[in-house]
Amino acid sequence: MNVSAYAKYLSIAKVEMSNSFSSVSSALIRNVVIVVVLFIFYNLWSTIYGHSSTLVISGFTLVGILWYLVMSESVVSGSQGHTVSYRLSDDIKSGNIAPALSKPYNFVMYCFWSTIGSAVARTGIALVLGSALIWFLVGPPQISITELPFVFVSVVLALILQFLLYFSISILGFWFEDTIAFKWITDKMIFILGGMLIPLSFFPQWLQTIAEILPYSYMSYAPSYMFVNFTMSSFISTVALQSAWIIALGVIAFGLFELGARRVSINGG
Amino acid sequence: METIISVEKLRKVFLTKHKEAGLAGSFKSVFKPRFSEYVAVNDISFDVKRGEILGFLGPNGAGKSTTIKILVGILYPTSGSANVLGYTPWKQRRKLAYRIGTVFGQKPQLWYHLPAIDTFNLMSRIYELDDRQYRKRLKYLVDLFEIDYLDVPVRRLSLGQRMRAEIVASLLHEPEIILLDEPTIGLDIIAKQKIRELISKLNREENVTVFLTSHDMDDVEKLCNRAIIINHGKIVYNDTLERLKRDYVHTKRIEVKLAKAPKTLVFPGAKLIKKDEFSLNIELDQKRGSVSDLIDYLTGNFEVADINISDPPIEEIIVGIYKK
Repeated sequence: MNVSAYAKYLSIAKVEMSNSFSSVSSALIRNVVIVVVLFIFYNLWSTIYGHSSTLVISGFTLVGILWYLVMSESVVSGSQGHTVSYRLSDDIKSGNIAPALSKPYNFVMYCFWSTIGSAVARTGIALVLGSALIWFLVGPPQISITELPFVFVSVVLALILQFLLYFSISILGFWFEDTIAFKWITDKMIFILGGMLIPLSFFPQWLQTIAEILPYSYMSYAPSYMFVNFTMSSFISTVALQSAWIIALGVIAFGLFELGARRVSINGG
Repeated sequence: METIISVEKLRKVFLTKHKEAGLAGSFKSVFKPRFSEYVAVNDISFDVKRGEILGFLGPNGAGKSTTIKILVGILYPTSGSANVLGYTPWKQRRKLAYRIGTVFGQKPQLWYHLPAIDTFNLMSRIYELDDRQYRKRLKYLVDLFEIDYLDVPVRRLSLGQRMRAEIVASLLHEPEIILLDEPTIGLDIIAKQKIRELISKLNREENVTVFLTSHDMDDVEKLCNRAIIINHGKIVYNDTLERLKRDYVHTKRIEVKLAKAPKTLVFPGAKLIKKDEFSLNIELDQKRGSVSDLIDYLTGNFEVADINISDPPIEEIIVGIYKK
Protein backbone atom coordinates (compact mmCIF):
# COMPACT_ATOMS: atom_id res chain seq x y z
CA MET A 1 0.00 0.00 0.00
CA ASN A 2 1.26 3.47 -0.82
CA VAL A 3 0.92 6.56 1.37
CA SER A 4 -2.38 7.81 -0.03
CA ALA A 5 -3.92 4.37 0.36
CA TYR A 6 -3.02 4.47 4.06
CA ALA A 7 -4.49 7.97 4.34
CA LYS A 8 -7.66 6.64 2.72
CA TYR A 9 -8.19 3.86 5.24
CA LEU A 10 -7.17 6.00 8.20
CA SER A 11 -9.73 8.64 7.20
CA ILE A 12 -12.39 5.96 7.08
CA ALA A 13 -11.45 4.93 10.64
CA LYS A 14 -11.53 8.57 11.74
CA VAL A 15 -14.97 9.27 10.26
CA GLU A 16 -16.35 6.10 11.81
CA MET A 17 -14.84 7.10 15.15
CA SER A 18 -16.51 10.51 15.09
CA ASN A 19 -19.74 8.87 13.99
CA SER A 20 -19.65 6.62 17.07
CA PHE A 21 -19.03 9.63 19.30
CA SER A 22 -21.88 11.54 17.66
CA SER A 23 -24.47 9.16 19.08
CA VAL A 24 -23.42 9.90 22.65
CA SER A 25 -26.63 8.69 24.24
CA SER A 26 -26.38 5.16 22.85
CA ALA A 27 -22.67 4.99 23.77
CA LEU A 28 -23.50 5.98 27.34
CA ILE A 29 -26.37 3.52 27.71
CA ARG A 30 -24.19 0.69 26.44
CA ASN A 31 -21.50 1.54 28.94
CA VAL A 32 -23.90 1.98 31.82
CA VAL A 33 -24.76 -1.67 31.20
CA ILE A 34 -21.10 -2.63 31.59
CA VAL A 35 -20.86 -0.75 34.87
CA VAL A 36 -23.99 -2.48 36.16
CA VAL A 37 -22.76 -5.90 35.05
CA LEU A 38 -19.39 -5.32 36.73
CA PHE A 39 -21.09 -4.25 39.94
CA ILE A 40 -23.16 -7.46 39.94
CA PHE A 41 -19.98 -9.49 39.32
CA TYR A 42 -18.27 -7.66 42.15
CA ASN A 43 -21.01 -8.82 44.55
CA LEU A 44 -21.08 -12.35 43.13
CA TRP A 45 -17.33 -12.95 43.26
CA SER A 46 -16.96 -11.27 46.68
CA THR A 47 -19.40 -13.83 48.05
CA ILE A 48 -17.57 -16.72 46.32
CA TYR A 49 -14.24 -15.54 47.74
CA GLY A 50 -15.84 -14.84 51.13
CA HIS A 51 -14.40 -11.31 50.90
CA SER A 52 -10.91 -12.76 51.39
CA SER A 53 -8.16 -10.82 49.67
CA THR A 54 -5.59 -13.61 49.89
CA LEU A 55 -7.61 -16.62 48.72
CA VAL A 56 -6.54 -17.87 45.26
CA ILE A 57 -8.98 -19.90 43.12
CA SER A 58 -7.81 -21.32 39.79
CA GLY A 59 -4.93 -18.83 39.77
CA PHE A 60 -7.08 -15.76 40.48
CA THR A 61 -7.38 -13.57 43.56
CA LEU A 62 -10.58 -11.56 44.03
CA VAL A 63 -8.85 -8.39 42.81
CA GLY A 64 -7.43 -10.33 39.87
CA ILE A 65 -10.73 -11.74 38.71
CA LEU A 66 -12.47 -8.38 38.90
CA TRP A 67 -9.81 -6.67 36.79
CA TYR A 68 -9.93 -9.66 34.44
CA LEU A 69 -13.66 -8.99 33.97
CA VAL A 70 -13.10 -5.25 33.35
CA MET A 71 -10.89 -6.19 30.43
CA SER A 72 -12.90 -9.14 29.08
CA GLU A 73 -16.18 -7.20 29.17
CA SER A 74 -14.65 -4.09 27.56
CA VAL A 75 -12.93 -5.95 24.74
CA VAL A 76 -16.14 -7.76 23.80
CA SER A 77 -18.99 -5.39 24.62
CA GLY A 78 -17.02 -2.31 23.72
CA SER A 79 -15.96 -3.62 20.35
CA GLN A 80 -18.27 -2.90 17.49
CA GLY A 81 -18.10 -6.42 16.10
CA HIS A 82 -21.76 -6.95 16.74
CA THR A 83 -23.06 -3.81 15.09
CA VAL A 84 -20.93 -4.27 11.99
CA SER A 85 -22.38 -7.70 11.43
CA TYR A 86 -25.90 -6.40 11.98
CA ARG A 87 -25.41 -3.48 9.65
CA LEU A 88 -23.62 -5.42 6.97
CA SER A 89 -26.16 -8.25 6.85
CA ASP A 90 -28.92 -5.66 6.66
CA ASP A 91 -27.06 -3.80 3.93
CA ILE A 92 -26.68 -6.99 1.95
CA LYS A 93 -30.38 -7.77 2.38
CA SER A 94 -31.59 -4.30 1.45
CA GLY A 95 -29.08 -3.72 -1.34
CA ASN A 96 -27.65 -0.75 0.60
CA ILE A 97 -24.27 -2.36 0.10
CA ALA A 98 -24.29 -0.96 -3.48
CA PRO A 99 -22.87 2.55 -2.83
CA ALA A 100 -20.17 1.22 -0.52
CA LEU A 101 -19.12 -1.25 -3.18
CA SER A 102 -18.89 1.34 -5.94
CA LYS A 103 -15.97 3.23 -4.38
CA PRO A 104 -12.30 2.73 -5.23
CA TYR A 105 -11.20 0.79 -2.19
CA ASN A 106 -10.95 -2.77 -1.08
CA PHE A 107 -14.31 -3.43 0.55
CA VAL A 108 -12.98 -5.79 3.22
CA MET A 109 -10.34 -3.21 4.17
CA TYR A 110 -13.03 -0.53 4.21
CA CYS A 111 -15.11 -2.56 6.67
CA PHE A 112 -12.03 -3.44 8.69
CA TRP A 113 -10.87 0.15 9.19
CA SER A 114 -14.32 1.50 9.89
CA THR A 115 -14.81 -1.22 12.52
CA ILE A 116 -11.42 -0.64 14.12
CA GLY A 117 -12.13 3.11 14.24
CA SER A 118 -15.24 2.70 16.30
CA ALA A 119 -14.09 -0.41 18.21
CA VAL A 120 -11.03 1.36 19.62
CA ALA A 121 -13.21 4.31 20.67
CA ARG A 122 -15.86 2.13 22.29
CA THR A 123 -13.47 -0.25 24.03
CA GLY A 124 -11.60 2.78 25.35
CA ILE A 125 -14.74 4.31 26.85
CA ALA A 126 -15.82 0.99 28.37
CA LEU A 127 -12.36 0.45 29.89
CA VAL A 128 -12.31 3.90 31.47
CA LEU A 129 -15.75 3.51 33.05
CA GLY A 130 -15.23 -0.12 34.13
CA SER A 131 -11.79 0.62 35.57
CA ALA A 132 -13.12 3.58 37.54
CA LEU A 133 -15.72 1.38 39.22
CA ILE A 134 -13.44 -1.57 40.04
CA TRP A 135 -10.59 0.70 41.18
CA PHE A 136 -13.03 2.39 43.55
CA LEU A 137 -14.27 -0.97 44.89
CA VAL A 138 -11.07 -3.05 45.19
CA GLY A 139 -8.09 -0.84 44.30
CA PRO A 140 -5.67 -0.76 41.33
CA PRO A 141 -4.76 -3.70 39.04
CA GLN A 142 -1.54 -5.68 39.62
CA ILE A 143 0.25 -4.62 36.48
CA SER A 144 3.09 -2.19 35.89
CA ILE A 145 2.81 0.69 33.43
CA THR A 146 5.62 -0.73 31.28
CA GLU A 147 3.62 -3.90 30.71
CA LEU A 148 0.48 -2.07 29.54
CA PRO A 149 1.63 -1.46 25.93
CA PHE A 150 2.03 -5.23 25.49
CA VAL A 151 -1.51 -5.79 26.72
CA PHE A 152 -2.69 -3.08 24.36
CA VAL A 153 -1.18 -4.97 21.39
CA SER A 154 -3.07 -8.11 22.38
CA VAL A 155 -6.31 -6.14 22.85
CA VAL A 156 -6.04 -4.71 19.33
CA LEU A 157 -5.39 -8.19 17.93
CA ALA A 158 -8.46 -9.43 19.82
CA LEU A 159 -10.55 -6.67 18.22
CA ILE A 160 -9.21 -7.61 14.77
CA LEU A 161 -10.11 -11.26 15.38
CA GLN A 162 -13.63 -10.34 16.43
CA PHE A 163 -13.99 -8.21 13.34
CA LEU A 164 -12.89 -11.03 11.03
CA LEU A 165 -15.25 -13.52 12.64
CA TYR A 166 -18.31 -11.26 12.61
CA PHE A 167 -17.48 -10.00 9.12
CA SER A 168 -17.36 -13.56 7.79
CA ILE A 169 -20.73 -14.25 9.37
CA SER A 170 -22.23 -11.12 7.80
CA ILE A 171 -20.94 -12.18 4.42
CA LEU A 172 -22.97 -15.36 4.83
CA GLY A 173 -25.89 -12.98 4.22
CA PHE A 174 -25.15 -13.44 0.53
CA TRP A 175 -26.25 -17.06 0.85
CA PHE A 176 -28.61 -17.14 3.81
CA GLU A 177 -31.71 -15.04 4.24
CA ASP A 178 -30.95 -14.47 7.88
CA THR A 179 -27.59 -14.51 9.68
CA ILE A 180 -28.98 -13.69 13.14
CA ALA A 181 -28.74 -17.34 14.22
CA PHE A 182 -25.03 -17.54 13.34
CA LYS A 183 -24.42 -14.27 15.11
CA TRP A 184 -26.31 -15.42 18.19
CA ILE A 185 -24.27 -18.63 18.42
CA THR A 186 -21.04 -16.67 18.00
CA ASP A 187 -22.01 -14.20 20.74
CA LYS A 188 -22.63 -17.05 23.17
CA MET A 189 -19.43 -18.84 22.16
CA ILE A 190 -17.44 -15.71 23.00
CA PHE A 191 -19.36 -15.24 26.27
CA ILE A 192 -18.61 -18.79 27.44
CA LEU A 193 -15.74 -20.39 25.49
CA GLY A 194 -14.13 -17.00 24.89
CA GLY A 195 -13.96 -16.49 28.63
CA MET A 196 -15.85 -13.22 28.71
CA LEU A 197 -18.02 -14.24 31.68
CA ILE A 198 -15.73 -16.70 33.50
CA PRO A 199 -11.97 -17.18 32.99
CA LEU A 200 -11.21 -20.46 31.18
CA SER A 201 -9.04 -21.65 34.08
CA PHE A 202 -12.24 -22.14 36.12
CA PHE A 203 -13.45 -24.75 33.58
CA PRO A 204 -12.81 -28.51 33.92
CA GLN A 205 -9.60 -29.46 32.15
CA TRP A 206 -11.25 -31.08 29.09
CA LEU A 207 -13.43 -28.02 28.43
CA GLN A 208 -10.49 -25.72 28.94
CA THR A 209 -8.55 -27.68 26.33
CA ILE A 210 -11.39 -27.40 23.83
CA ALA A 211 -11.77 -23.69 24.51
CA GLU A 212 -8.09 -23.07 23.98
CA ILE A 213 -8.14 -24.81 20.60
CA LEU A 214 -11.02 -22.64 19.37
CA PRO A 215 -10.41 -19.03 18.23
CA TYR A 216 -12.91 -17.49 20.67
CA SER A 217 -10.51 -17.52 23.61
CA TYR A 218 -8.14 -15.23 21.71
CA MET A 219 -10.88 -12.63 21.40
CA SER A 220 -11.37 -12.05 25.12
CA TYR A 221 -9.68 -14.53 27.48
CA ALA A 222 -6.12 -14.19 26.21
CA PRO A 223 -5.64 -10.40 26.54
CA SER A 224 -7.63 -10.29 29.78
CA TYR A 225 -5.59 -13.08 31.38
CA MET A 226 -2.42 -11.32 30.28
CA PHE A 227 -3.71 -8.13 31.90
CA VAL A 228 -3.84 -9.76 35.36
CA ASN A 229 -1.00 -12.33 35.05
CA PHE A 230 1.53 -10.69 32.78
CA THR A 231 4.65 -12.60 31.71
CA MET A 232 6.77 -11.95 28.66
CA SER A 233 6.58 -15.58 27.55
CA SER A 234 2.78 -15.63 27.71
CA PHE A 235 2.74 -12.38 25.72
CA ILE A 236 4.83 -13.92 22.96
CA SER A 237 2.83 -17.13 22.72
CA THR A 238 -0.52 -15.30 22.92
CA VAL A 239 0.39 -12.82 20.20
CA ALA A 240 1.75 -15.61 18.00
CA LEU A 241 -1.48 -17.58 18.30
CA GLN A 242 -3.63 -14.50 17.83
CA SER A 243 -1.68 -13.68 14.66
CA ALA A 244 -2.09 -17.22 13.37
CA TRP A 245 -5.85 -17.02 13.88
CA ILE A 246 -5.94 -13.60 12.22
CA ILE A 247 -4.28 -15.06 9.13
CA ALA A 248 -6.63 -18.05 9.09
CA LEU A 249 -9.82 -16.04 9.61
CA GLY A 250 -8.51 -13.34 7.28
CA VAL A 251 -8.18 -15.85 4.44
CA ILE A 252 -11.73 -17.05 5.17
CA ALA A 253 -13.13 -13.49 5.30
CA PHE A 254 -11.49 -12.38 2.04
CA GLY A 255 -12.38 -15.67 0.33
CA LEU A 256 -16.02 -15.55 1.39
CA PHE A 257 -16.25 -11.95 0.26
CA GLU A 258 -14.80 -12.72 -3.18
CA LEU A 259 -17.36 -15.51 -3.61
CA GLY A 260 -20.19 -13.45 -2.12
CA ALA A 261 -19.53 -10.38 -4.24
CA ARG A 262 -20.55 -12.37 -7.29
CA ARG A 263 -23.95 -12.71 -5.71
CA VAL A 264 -24.42 -9.04 -4.79
CA SER A 265 -27.89 -7.66 -5.06
CA ILE A 266 -29.58 -11.01 -5.21
CA ASN A 267 -31.97 -9.00 -3.06
CA GLY A 268 -33.44 -5.81 -4.44
CA GLY A 269 -31.92 -6.04 -7.94
CA MET B 1 -18.61 11.27 -31.00
CA GLU B 2 -16.66 8.80 -28.93
CA THR B 3 -18.55 5.81 -27.55
CA ILE B 4 -17.78 5.43 -23.84
CA ILE B 5 -20.28 2.82 -22.75
CA SER B 6 -21.02 -0.15 -24.92
CA VAL B 7 -23.12 -3.10 -23.90
CA GLU B 8 -23.46 -6.27 -25.94
CA LYS B 9 -26.07 -8.98 -25.27
CA LEU B 10 -25.96 -8.41 -21.53
CA ARG B 11 -27.93 -10.91 -19.50
CA LYS B 12 -28.50 -11.35 -15.79
CA VAL B 13 -30.45 -14.23 -14.31
CA PHE B 14 -31.33 -14.39 -10.62
CA LEU B 15 -32.47 -17.46 -8.74
CA THR B 16 -35.56 -16.88 -6.66
CA LYS B 17 -36.59 -19.19 -3.87
CA HIS B 18 -40.19 -20.29 -3.66
CA LYS B 19 -42.13 -21.36 -0.64
CA GLU B 20 -45.59 -22.85 -0.45
CA ALA B 21 -48.05 -21.30 1.96
CA GLY B 22 -48.32 -22.34 5.58
CA LEU B 23 -46.19 -24.21 8.07
CA ALA B 24 -45.97 -27.36 5.94
CA GLY B 25 -44.71 -25.21 3.08
CA SER B 26 -42.03 -23.74 5.33
CA PHE B 27 -40.83 -27.18 6.34
CA LYS B 28 -40.80 -28.35 2.77
CA SER B 29 -38.74 -25.36 1.64
CA VAL B 30 -36.11 -26.12 4.30
CA PHE B 31 -35.52 -29.67 3.10
CA LYS B 32 -36.40 -29.38 -0.54
CA PRO B 33 -36.02 -25.76 -1.63
CA ARG B 34 -37.55 -24.92 -4.95
CA PHE B 35 -35.91 -22.27 -7.12
CA SER B 36 -36.95 -20.61 -10.29
CA GLU B 37 -34.97 -18.44 -12.66
CA TYR B 38 -35.80 -14.81 -12.99
CA VAL B 39 -34.36 -13.03 -16.02
CA ALA B 40 -33.76 -9.45 -14.83
CA VAL B 41 -31.83 -8.33 -17.90
CA ASN B 42 -32.46 -10.20 -21.12
CA ASP B 43 -29.74 -9.87 -23.79
CA ILE B 44 -29.71 -6.10 -24.06
CA SER B 45 -27.31 -4.13 -26.27
CA PHE B 46 -26.79 -0.37 -26.46
CA ASP B 47 -24.13 2.37 -26.68
CA VAL B 48 -23.65 5.70 -24.94
CA LYS B 49 -21.63 8.54 -26.44
CA ARG B 50 -19.51 11.02 -24.52
CA GLY B 51 -21.49 14.06 -23.39
CA GLU B 52 -24.88 12.44 -23.81
CA ILE B 53 -27.68 12.57 -21.26
CA LEU B 54 -29.33 9.19 -21.56
CA GLY B 55 -32.55 8.32 -19.82
CA PHE B 56 -32.96 4.66 -18.93
CA LEU B 57 -36.65 4.23 -18.29
CA GLY B 58 -38.89 1.46 -17.21
CA PRO B 59 -41.45 0.41 -14.63
CA ASN B 60 -40.35 -1.04 -11.29
CA GLY B 61 -38.62 -4.38 -11.71
CA ALA B 62 -37.84 -3.82 -15.39
CA GLY B 63 -34.08 -4.32 -14.91
CA LYS B 64 -32.88 -0.70 -14.67
CA SER B 65 -31.02 -1.01 -11.38
CA THR B 66 -29.58 -4.36 -12.35
CA THR B 67 -28.14 -2.82 -15.51
CA ILE B 68 -26.68 0.16 -13.66
CA LYS B 69 -25.11 -2.13 -11.05
CA ILE B 70 -23.49 -4.21 -13.78
CA LEU B 71 -22.14 -1.05 -15.43
CA VAL B 72 -20.66 0.11 -12.12
CA GLY B 73 -19.09 -3.29 -11.58
CA ILE B 74 -20.84 -4.38 -8.40
CA LEU B 75 -22.89 -7.05 -10.12
CA TYR B 76 -21.61 -9.88 -12.31
CA PRO B 77 -23.66 -10.54 -15.43
CA THR B 78 -24.70 -14.08 -16.33
CA SER B 79 -23.49 -13.57 -19.90
CA GLY B 80 -22.72 -10.85 -22.42
CA SER B 81 -20.18 -8.06 -22.36
CA ALA B 82 -19.95 -4.45 -21.27
CA ASN B 83 -17.27 -1.86 -21.75
CA VAL B 84 -17.19 1.38 -19.76
CA LEU B 85 -14.33 3.80 -20.53
CA GLY B 86 -12.30 0.86 -21.78
CA TYR B 87 -12.83 -1.27 -18.66
CA THR B 88 -14.84 -4.39 -18.04
CA PRO B 89 -16.67 -3.14 -14.95
CA TRP B 90 -16.98 -6.32 -12.89
CA LYS B 91 -13.34 -7.21 -13.52
CA GLN B 92 -11.84 -3.72 -13.07
CA ARG B 93 -14.26 -2.19 -10.59
CA ARG B 94 -11.75 -0.15 -8.60
CA LYS B 95 -9.95 1.33 -11.61
CA LEU B 96 -13.29 2.26 -13.11
CA ALA B 97 -14.49 3.76 -9.83
CA TYR B 98 -11.94 6.60 -10.09
CA ARG B 99 -13.49 7.76 -13.35
CA ILE B 100 -17.21 7.42 -12.75
CA GLY B 101 -19.60 8.82 -10.16
CA THR B 102 -22.62 6.99 -8.83
CA VAL B 103 -25.73 8.10 -7.01
CA PHE B 104 -28.24 5.55 -5.80
CA GLY B 105 -31.41 7.49 -5.00
CA GLN B 106 -32.62 5.16 -2.30
CA LYS B 107 -29.22 4.09 -0.98
CA PRO B 108 -27.45 7.02 0.66
CA GLN B 109 -23.68 7.32 0.85
CA LEU B 110 -23.64 10.28 3.26
CA TRP B 111 -22.92 9.48 6.91
CA TYR B 112 -26.28 9.93 8.59
CA HIS B 113 -25.14 11.42 11.91
CA LEU B 114 -22.35 13.58 10.50
CA PRO B 115 -22.47 16.80 8.49
CA ALA B 116 -22.06 16.44 4.71
CA ILE B 117 -18.62 18.08 4.81
CA ASP B 118 -17.26 15.05 6.72
CA THR B 119 -18.38 12.71 3.94
CA PHE B 120 -16.95 15.09 1.31
CA ASN B 121 -13.57 15.17 3.08
CA LEU B 122 -13.61 11.40 3.33
CA MET B 123 -14.37 11.10 -0.39
CA SER B 124 -11.39 13.33 -1.16
CA ARG B 125 -9.21 10.75 0.65
CA ILE B 126 -10.93 7.74 -0.86
CA TYR B 127 -10.41 9.12 -4.36
CA GLU B 128 -6.88 10.26 -3.40
CA LEU B 129 -7.48 13.87 -4.49
CA ASP B 130 -4.87 16.57 -4.27
CA ASP B 131 -5.82 18.82 -1.36
CA ARG B 132 -5.69 22.14 -3.20
CA GLN B 133 -7.57 20.80 -6.18
CA TYR B 134 -10.16 19.28 -3.89
CA ARG B 135 -10.78 22.61 -2.09
CA LYS B 136 -11.28 24.32 -5.43
CA ARG B 137 -13.58 21.62 -6.73
CA LEU B 138 -15.59 21.59 -3.51
CA LYS B 139 -16.13 25.33 -3.64
CA TYR B 140 -17.28 25.13 -7.26
CA LEU B 141 -19.76 22.33 -6.55
CA VAL B 142 -21.04 23.82 -3.31
CA ASP B 143 -21.80 27.06 -5.17
CA LEU B 144 -23.33 25.28 -8.13
CA PHE B 145 -25.56 23.05 -6.00
CA GLU B 146 -26.32 25.86 -3.53
CA ILE B 147 -25.25 23.85 -0.51
CA ASP B 148 -25.40 26.26 2.40
CA TYR B 149 -25.78 23.49 4.96
CA LEU B 150 -22.32 21.91 4.87
CA ASP B 151 -21.99 21.58 8.65
CA VAL B 152 -25.51 20.41 9.47
CA PRO B 153 -25.83 16.70 10.36
CA VAL B 154 -27.35 14.90 7.39
CA ARG B 155 -30.22 13.53 9.46
CA ARG B 156 -31.55 17.10 9.82
CA LEU B 157 -31.65 17.84 6.06
CA SER B 158 -34.70 17.69 3.81
CA LEU B 159 -34.79 14.97 1.18
CA GLY B 160 -34.04 17.46 -1.60
CA GLN B 161 -31.08 18.95 0.27
CA ARG B 162 -29.78 15.48 0.98
CA MET B 163 -30.01 14.44 -2.66
CA ARG B 164 -28.09 17.54 -3.77
CA ALA B 165 -25.35 16.68 -1.28
CA GLU B 166 -25.38 13.05 -2.47
CA ILE B 167 -24.74 14.22 -6.02
CA VAL B 168 -21.93 16.56 -4.92
CA ALA B 169 -20.30 13.66 -3.06
CA SER B 170 -20.21 11.67 -6.29
CA LEU B 171 -18.78 14.54 -8.36
CA LEU B 172 -15.77 15.58 -6.24
CA HIS B 173 -13.34 13.45 -8.22
CA GLU B 174 -14.45 14.94 -11.55
CA PRO B 175 -15.90 11.76 -13.04
CA GLU B 176 -16.35 11.47 -16.79
CA ILE B 177 -19.62 9.60 -16.42
CA ILE B 178 -22.19 9.96 -13.70
CA LEU B 179 -24.69 7.17 -13.20
CA LEU B 180 -27.80 8.14 -11.29
CA ASP B 181 -30.24 5.50 -10.15
CA GLU B 182 -33.63 7.13 -9.57
CA PRO B 183 -32.20 10.47 -8.40
CA THR B 184 -35.58 12.19 -8.09
CA ILE B 185 -37.48 9.43 -6.34
CA GLY B 186 -39.57 10.65 -3.44
CA LEU B 187 -38.83 14.34 -4.05
CA ASP B 188 -41.50 17.01 -4.40
CA ILE B 189 -41.96 18.83 -7.70
CA ILE B 190 -39.78 21.83 -6.82
CA ALA B 191 -36.91 19.66 -5.57
CA LYS B 192 -37.17 17.43 -8.64
CA GLN B 193 -36.96 20.46 -10.90
CA LYS B 194 -33.92 21.73 -9.04
CA ILE B 195 -32.08 18.43 -9.40
CA ARG B 196 -32.88 18.29 -13.10
CA GLU B 197 -31.63 21.83 -13.67
CA LEU B 198 -28.39 21.05 -11.88
CA ILE B 199 -27.74 17.85 -13.78
CA SER B 200 -28.31 19.59 -17.07
CA LYS B 201 -26.07 22.51 -16.09
CA LEU B 202 -23.33 20.12 -15.08
CA ASN B 203 -23.58 18.34 -18.40
CA ARG B 204 -23.31 21.67 -20.28
CA GLU B 205 -20.42 23.06 -18.24
CA GLU B 206 -18.28 19.93 -17.89
CA ASN B 207 -19.48 17.71 -20.71
CA VAL B 208 -20.14 14.97 -18.14
CA THR B 209 -21.95 12.00 -19.62
CA VAL B 210 -25.12 11.33 -17.66
CA PHE B 211 -26.74 7.92 -17.43
CA LEU B 212 -29.94 8.20 -15.50
CA THR B 213 -32.58 5.66 -14.58
CA SER B 214 -36.09 6.68 -13.74
CA HIS B 215 -39.66 5.54 -13.87
CA ASP B 216 -40.76 9.15 -14.20
CA MET B 217 -41.30 10.27 -17.81
CA ASP B 218 -40.95 13.89 -16.65
CA ASP B 219 -37.29 13.36 -15.67
CA VAL B 220 -36.43 12.22 -19.15
CA GLU B 221 -38.50 14.82 -20.90
CA LYS B 222 -36.86 17.71 -19.07
CA LEU B 223 -33.34 16.35 -19.24
CA CYS B 224 -32.41 13.75 -21.78
CA ASN B 225 -31.42 13.76 -25.44
CA ARG B 226 -32.13 10.09 -25.82
CA ALA B 227 -34.23 7.51 -24.06
CA ILE B 228 -33.96 3.78 -23.70
CA ILE B 229 -37.08 2.09 -22.42
CA ILE B 230 -36.72 -1.29 -20.83
CA ASN B 231 -39.51 -3.66 -19.88
CA HIS B 232 -39.22 -7.18 -18.46
CA GLY B 233 -35.47 -7.00 -19.08
CA LYS B 234 -35.77 -6.19 -22.78
CA ILE B 235 -35.18 -2.91 -24.59
CA VAL B 236 -38.42 -1.84 -26.22
CA TYR B 237 -37.32 1.63 -27.36
CA ASN B 238 -33.94 3.22 -28.04
CA ASP B 239 -34.04 6.50 -29.91
CA THR B 240 -34.28 10.28 -29.55
CA LEU B 241 -36.68 11.87 -27.17
CA GLU B 242 -38.33 13.81 -30.02
CA ARG B 243 -39.33 10.61 -31.75
CA LEU B 244 -40.61 9.11 -28.54
CA LYS B 245 -42.78 12.12 -27.90
CA ARG B 246 -43.96 12.38 -31.48
CA ASP B 247 -44.83 8.73 -31.88
CA TYR B 248 -45.84 7.55 -28.46
CA VAL B 249 -46.36 10.32 -25.95
CA HIS B 250 -48.99 12.58 -27.41
CA THR B 251 -51.30 12.54 -24.47
CA LYS B 252 -51.24 14.42 -21.18
CA ARG B 253 -52.98 13.65 -17.94
CA ILE B 254 -54.92 16.51 -16.42
CA GLU B 255 -56.24 16.13 -12.94
CA VAL B 256 -58.74 18.80 -11.93
CA LYS B 257 -60.06 19.43 -8.44
CA LEU B 258 -63.34 21.26 -8.42
CA ALA B 259 -65.12 23.43 -5.90
CA LYS B 260 -68.51 22.34 -7.25
CA ALA B 261 -69.79 19.07 -8.67
CA PRO B 262 -68.73 18.69 -12.34
CA LYS B 263 -70.95 19.12 -15.38
CA THR B 264 -70.34 17.10 -18.54
CA LEU B 265 -67.05 17.71 -20.32
CA VAL B 266 -67.03 18.54 -24.02
CA PHE B 267 -63.61 19.28 -25.47
CA PRO B 268 -61.85 17.93 -28.60
CA GLY B 269 -59.37 15.18 -27.75
CA ALA B 270 -60.31 15.06 -24.07
CA LYS B 271 -61.34 11.73 -22.65
CA LEU B 272 -62.70 11.38 -19.17
CA ILE B 273 -60.87 8.58 -17.36
CA LYS B 274 -62.32 9.06 -13.93
CA LYS B 275 -64.94 11.31 -12.47
CA ASP B 276 -66.18 11.66 -8.96
CA GLU B 277 -67.96 14.27 -6.91
CA PHE B 278 -65.29 16.97 -6.92
CA SER B 279 -62.62 15.85 -9.33
CA LEU B 280 -62.01 14.98 -12.97
CA ASN B 281 -59.24 12.90 -14.44
CA ILE B 282 -58.76 13.72 -18.10
CA GLU B 283 -56.57 12.25 -20.81
CA LEU B 284 -55.89 14.80 -23.55
CA ASP B 285 -54.77 13.82 -27.05
CA GLN B 286 -52.46 16.70 -27.90
CA LYS B 287 -52.88 16.09 -31.63
CA ARG B 288 -56.49 17.15 -31.31
CA GLY B 289 -56.40 19.83 -28.64
CA SER B 290 -53.83 21.86 -26.75
CA VAL B 291 -53.29 21.86 -22.99
CA SER B 292 -53.63 25.64 -22.71
CA ASP B 293 -56.96 25.61 -24.58
CA LEU B 294 -58.23 22.87 -22.32
CA ILE B 295 -57.26 24.86 -19.24
CA ASP B 296 -59.05 27.91 -20.64
CA TYR B 297 -62.09 25.75 -21.25
CA LEU B 298 -61.96 24.27 -17.76
CA THR B 299 -61.54 27.56 -15.93
CA GLY B 300 -64.28 29.10 -18.06
CA ASN B 301 -66.81 26.36 -17.47
CA PHE B 302 -66.01 24.93 -14.04
CA GLU B 303 -65.10 26.24 -10.62
CA VAL B 304 -61.54 24.95 -10.61
CA ALA B 305 -59.73 24.60 -7.27
CA ASP B 306 -56.55 22.90 -8.49
CA ILE B 307 -55.02 21.56 -11.71
CA ASN B 308 -52.21 19.05 -12.09
CA ILE B 309 -50.73 18.22 -15.50
CA SER B 310 -48.52 15.17 -16.00
CA ASP B 311 -47.26 12.73 -18.57
CA PRO B 312 -48.93 9.35 -18.89
CA PRO B 313 -47.29 6.70 -16.69
CA ILE B 314 -44.43 4.78 -18.26
CA GLU B 315 -46.48 1.55 -18.30
CA GLU B 316 -48.94 3.15 -20.71
CA ILE B 317 -46.21 4.42 -23.01
CA ILE B 318 -44.85 0.87 -23.16
CA VAL B 319 -48.29 -0.47 -24.04
CA GLY B 320 -48.39 2.11 -26.85
CA ILE B 321 -45.00 0.93 -28.13
CA TYR B 322 -46.13 -2.70 -28.17
CA LYS B 323 -49.29 -1.78 -30.05
CA LYS B 324 -47.38 -0.25 -32.98
